[in-house]
Amino acid sequence: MAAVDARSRQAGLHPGLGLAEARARCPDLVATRHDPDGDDAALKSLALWAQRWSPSIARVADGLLLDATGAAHLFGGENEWLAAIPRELARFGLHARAGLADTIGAAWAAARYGAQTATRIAPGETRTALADYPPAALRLSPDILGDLDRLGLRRIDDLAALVRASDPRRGLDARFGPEPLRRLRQAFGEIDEPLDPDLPVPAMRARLAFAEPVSAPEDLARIVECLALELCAKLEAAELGLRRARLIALRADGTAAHLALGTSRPMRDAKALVRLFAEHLPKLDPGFGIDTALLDAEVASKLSLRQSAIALPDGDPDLGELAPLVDRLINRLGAVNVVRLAPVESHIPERAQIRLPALGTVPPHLRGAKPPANPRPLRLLAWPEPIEALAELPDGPPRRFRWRKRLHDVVRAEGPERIEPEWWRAPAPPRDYFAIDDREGHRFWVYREGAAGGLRWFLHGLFA
Amino acid sequence: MTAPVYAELGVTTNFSFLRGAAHPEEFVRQAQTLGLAAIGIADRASFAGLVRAHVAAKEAGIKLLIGARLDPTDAPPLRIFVKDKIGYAALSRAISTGRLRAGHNNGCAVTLAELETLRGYAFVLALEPRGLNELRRIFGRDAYLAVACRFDGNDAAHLAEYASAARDAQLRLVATNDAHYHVPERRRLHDVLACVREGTTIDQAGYRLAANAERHLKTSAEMARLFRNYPDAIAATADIAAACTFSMDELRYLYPELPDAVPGSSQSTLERLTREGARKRYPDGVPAKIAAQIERELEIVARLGYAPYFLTVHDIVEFARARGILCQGRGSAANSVICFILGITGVDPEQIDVLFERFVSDARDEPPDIDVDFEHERREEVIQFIYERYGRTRAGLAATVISYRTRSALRDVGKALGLSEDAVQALSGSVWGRSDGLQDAHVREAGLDPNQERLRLALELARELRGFPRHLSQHVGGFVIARGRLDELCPVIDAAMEARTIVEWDKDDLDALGILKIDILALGMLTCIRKAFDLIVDAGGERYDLASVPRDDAGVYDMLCKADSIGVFQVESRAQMSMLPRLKPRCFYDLVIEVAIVRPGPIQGDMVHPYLRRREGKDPVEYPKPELRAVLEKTKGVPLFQEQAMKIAIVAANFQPSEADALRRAMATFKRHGDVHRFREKFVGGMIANGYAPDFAERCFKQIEGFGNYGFPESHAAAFAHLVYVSAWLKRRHPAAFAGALLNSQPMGFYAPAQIVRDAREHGVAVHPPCVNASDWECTLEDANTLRLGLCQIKSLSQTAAEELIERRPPNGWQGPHELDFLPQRDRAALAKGDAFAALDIGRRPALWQTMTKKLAPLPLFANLPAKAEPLPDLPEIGQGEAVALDYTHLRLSLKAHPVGLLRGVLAKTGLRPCSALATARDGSTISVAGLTLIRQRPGTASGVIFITLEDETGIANLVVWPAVFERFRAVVLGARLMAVRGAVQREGDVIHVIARKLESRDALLGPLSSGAFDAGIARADEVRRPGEDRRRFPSRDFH
Repeated sequence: MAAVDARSRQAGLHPGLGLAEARARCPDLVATRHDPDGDDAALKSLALWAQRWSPSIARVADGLLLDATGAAHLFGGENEWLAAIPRELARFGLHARAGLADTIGAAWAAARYGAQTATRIAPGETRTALADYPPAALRLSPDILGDLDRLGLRRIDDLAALVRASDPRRGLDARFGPEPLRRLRQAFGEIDEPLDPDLPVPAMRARLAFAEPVSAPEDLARIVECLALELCAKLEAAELGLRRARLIALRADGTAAHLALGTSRPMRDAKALVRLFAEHLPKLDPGFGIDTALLDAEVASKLSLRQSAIALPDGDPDLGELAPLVDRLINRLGAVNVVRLAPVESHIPERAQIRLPALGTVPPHLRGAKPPANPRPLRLLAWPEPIEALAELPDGPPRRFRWRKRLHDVVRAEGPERIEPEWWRAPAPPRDYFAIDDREGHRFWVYREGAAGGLRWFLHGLFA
Repeated sequence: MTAPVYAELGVTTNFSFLRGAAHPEEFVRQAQTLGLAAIGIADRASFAGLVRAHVAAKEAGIKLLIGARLDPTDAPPLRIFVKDKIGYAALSRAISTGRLRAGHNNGCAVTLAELETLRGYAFVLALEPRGLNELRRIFGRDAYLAVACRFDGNDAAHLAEYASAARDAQLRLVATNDAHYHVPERRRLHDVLACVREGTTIDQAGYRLAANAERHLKTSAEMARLFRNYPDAIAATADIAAACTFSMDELRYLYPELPDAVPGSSQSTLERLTREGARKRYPDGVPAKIAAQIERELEIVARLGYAPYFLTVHDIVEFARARGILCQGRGSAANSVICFILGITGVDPEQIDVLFERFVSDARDEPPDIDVDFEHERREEVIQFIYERYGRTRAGLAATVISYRTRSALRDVGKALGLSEDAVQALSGSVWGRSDGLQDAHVREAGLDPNQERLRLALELARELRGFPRHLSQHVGGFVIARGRLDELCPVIDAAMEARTIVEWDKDDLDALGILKIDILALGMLTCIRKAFDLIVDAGGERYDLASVPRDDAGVYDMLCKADSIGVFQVESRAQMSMLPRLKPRCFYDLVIEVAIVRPGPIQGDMVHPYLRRREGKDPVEYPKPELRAVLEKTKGVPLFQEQAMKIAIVAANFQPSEADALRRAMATFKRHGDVHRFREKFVGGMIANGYAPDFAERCFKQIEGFGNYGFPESHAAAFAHLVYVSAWLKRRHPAAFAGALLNSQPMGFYAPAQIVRDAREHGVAVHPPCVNASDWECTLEDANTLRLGLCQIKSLSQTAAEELIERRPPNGWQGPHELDFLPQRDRAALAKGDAFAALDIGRRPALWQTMTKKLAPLPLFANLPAKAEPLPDLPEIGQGEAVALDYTHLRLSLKAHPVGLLRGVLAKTGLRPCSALATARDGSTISVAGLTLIRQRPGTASGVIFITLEDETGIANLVVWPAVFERFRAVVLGARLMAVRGAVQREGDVIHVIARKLESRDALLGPLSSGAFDAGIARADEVRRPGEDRRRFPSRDFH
């Protein structure tokens, strides 16, 4: 088990326990699959949310780092700022702990091992405050922590004392590598640890650096192409589209040139982007040569993935030449009214296909589904229509039948194709299908249902 | 007009695992019901289901064609049916070759050329219209093209295509229905199996499922109608069936002769060996009674032709003896004077009057039965010896068919139907302490609604799937040895385990064909006894063997009467311990009874209490009817052994001996077949008709049911009782050697090293900790009464490192961890954690500090200087509680103190008394005690009651937890390492229990970091550490 809630903890369950054993102790346990990607995504969106508390935010494995500098005073001082964050998070049902200190290391420790939900270590008091914290507060690996524990080094001060007493290079480093000492020094502020913000978001950027400065126009065109592809791929991944793009050329001499343009609608079509830049590229002066080129999406607005016909992620329809037509139909009729058929692997004819919005993505469980092996009628009736038929028992084809008041004489028949119901869905009688030709050359698809006595015939489709 | 006669030649049974959806027996019976001319079974490169089919076909009176489906690498898939014995042998060999070449579970790689040996002896049916000319060239008129209607709408074209292909190749077309199940209703299960095979769910399986339910057996008339345009294809089935005359009854099994024997000399060799051996066993002359018995036994053996069998067992036992591997035979024939004399068993025939004739008689035409137990650590040597001596073409292990059980069936069906993992888990009852079975009530208990459609389907289909074979595994040790080629008797295939080959048949199949199996079993206690014998010699004592241990030592029986039996074979379990003081064994035969009585048979038959009461003289010894006196005399009129129950069936219920045997077999497999009911009526009805009390008849039958798979015959009990006595004698007379041997044989038995060491110390043995200078790898004796724990006690220390440490140990010993740089860092750290430097006055933490540096190449200048210890930093002192916890973590025990002892002050404050207080507590009084959790068990025979054993520094407490109490304190029972209990004292003689009313975890007292350490102290018999495991598969020695 990766994590447990408070009630489970009360019942004696804890992370690391096997699921089977946990169930034995607690038979009504509700377990869901651990989803690290989901956790990650949630933390990302939390980081966006946290922009309101500070402009500079970094994510760590199980938490967020916020730079308090210049932010805390907006909320009435550090204490207020610190207390407010867990309080606000609690409104979403999230239990959070917070710590504030001079260094990232100490703040990390305070958040996790501090006495209160929100623990502030006052400026200059880091060493004293951390003395009684366990070494685990130093962001060390479980292996190292295990060894420190076995040596009886259970307080940060024990570790600090060891460093003071002997040459740490021969003592600590020889045993644990540089990590404990580095972490200790980071926590105490003896070595600098910058906050490395993985956000602030808005712009998307593609970057290309060259060993030798380039300046030939054909090279520039090629560079734009590469950058456009990279940027559009990023936009695609983020489901964003650009409204303005800026090409920045960093010249080898330290100067820069740039070229900006806007689009009327959000877009992320690399080819279109290249075309747009191509017109203006001659205006870009490479000077003595460019060693780095950047392409920024300046205003990236939400662009839904499925509106894109640029690339085809798994399951997206490849409309090919039909795309403009589909676009126009949708504009006229509305998205829900333009559909396409996708195969569903089912022997039951009416279940063997499904209607999807023309631009809709194929749901994952239907991807790779094949159409039936036997040819099916071009037109399958929405509801099979009862017919009167004359046939030989037990499994002969009809010799003649009446459908919609017209009598058809059968000249040729193929069958039976016996299809049993999908027993796991709903009980139904088995069907014997026949493909039959009448005297006029029409080809029908009919079936018989039930056995002698309760026997019924239906017409289910028309071939031509 | 009568329908043309049709034989179905396309049957795939559930021994084509996850493909066929019916048992071979079901096919055969249905074929007979439908009136088919014959049925031809052809599983995928396997004969595994054929014996069952053969037995069923004989019973039903329908002809069975023996065959297999092969997929040659260079030809269309083939179904092959053998005409005669030569064809059978050739097909069996071809399958063996292909399966062994492909490797375990990897199909069967044969080429068409390799099947040429079948030419003239088998029919070959191609399943696809390709490569037909080649088939005709090789097999001539024996080659056919098989075709089935597919009901896919194109059958007319399909049949026409095949017919024309056959015509072009000048082959005959033969009709089949490619049956995968016997009745159409099995389509559902067939679909589920397809999902399991493809690892998908029913909703996702799509076209991997069949569209219809046509793959069942059909009548001749229906088949003739389907093939009305191809009447010859129907006629062909009958022609093939008529030409296949082979029956499995023709398989003649011959006892193997020793590879170097003169053919036909077995009897004289056996007689010579017996007479020579008798002179050695009885140097003062063979007693007249024994001499007469020898002659009688030799005469029976000669008449039945069993001499080669005895010689084979003797040969194996001799090999083991030459290698110094301890072994002992058991089973009906093992209790013969011949076996005693040949050294196959150490049970003195004078100690037990088990009559040879009773078990080996002319009336029972079945092979004699000798199982041989070997030291568990060295059995593999014996197995490889047999392979080598007879060759893999003549010797192979028997198979065990692993079948779906309730849980596995639910798991697979649940998954296939797309139930959530939670639902499957809850359903399959892999929750310890929940009853097995698929009752609706049980489903509701799991919080699910049995009426929900999917769930209802899952339950229904799982019930159907239960009993289906899932795969073949190897039998625990049953060897089949043949005189001729084994692979011509039955396909020989690879087992999952390296260097093991098995035949495809299990013990019932072998029994049915009268094929001999010798069980080469592993027994941990033999390892332990051998090691104890060695330790005694090492400490300057006498050399003993199984036969030379002094008999009838009163001290040994005194000890057992007090239930002082930790470590003793068979009688160390809690159930046995509470039986010992009641049964009070005083002689060898009492031990035989002790071994047999705590078993499901006697317990379910409610025979235990009547026996004990008679033994104590509370009830008179009487016999239901005089005719049973001879059967029940030895057990005071109460049936305890399997033989007695069978004898009752014969004497009191008018069973024929062969019927009694069938009854025994039916019990062993009653889950698969529904025959029990029939036997019950005959048995109980027969006894009542003969004037027995209905109640007694009912109990006798219940007892037989209880024997089930775990039937425990007197002949086995006697062999085990001998080991009980020997191990008890070791414990009583050589406690240090015994404890050392137990530790050196771990894992085995019911208890963890902590309890073994504690018990040894309580018996006056001095135990010293593992030490870099004083210990060997294994535990050793420093003198007859002083045990030095071995380095093997130290967790995660590798044996090679330990041996290097011992090898290079300087004369005056190691001076500290800094000298051990030649060892990998892992191993040095393990030594430090195991406190192995304590004798050098280097504690755990300093030692660990010193062993933590990574190995560095010494500077060239200092390379020749002796390693120097670097100055140690000040590390915080270790507390005693923590030291004990670390001992448990790294040594699985502590010699320093008992963890609960250290907490006594705290515990006393909350009113918890030491376990020793139980000895003087009044019956019915209330008491509170606490201790480390040692064992939690929920015996199948105890209707949900849970037994818990707690241990503190003063002794143990045995708790009884009723189901209602368990449900309230489930988390405590399953999770607590330090458990406190409040309950009522229950005394029964010397046996004391606490009936739990309230249970609490005191884990917090053990400290958050160290509580996990005490897991190491949990006994091996504990069931909670193995959740979901079936009680009966738990490797206890209670149920063999």
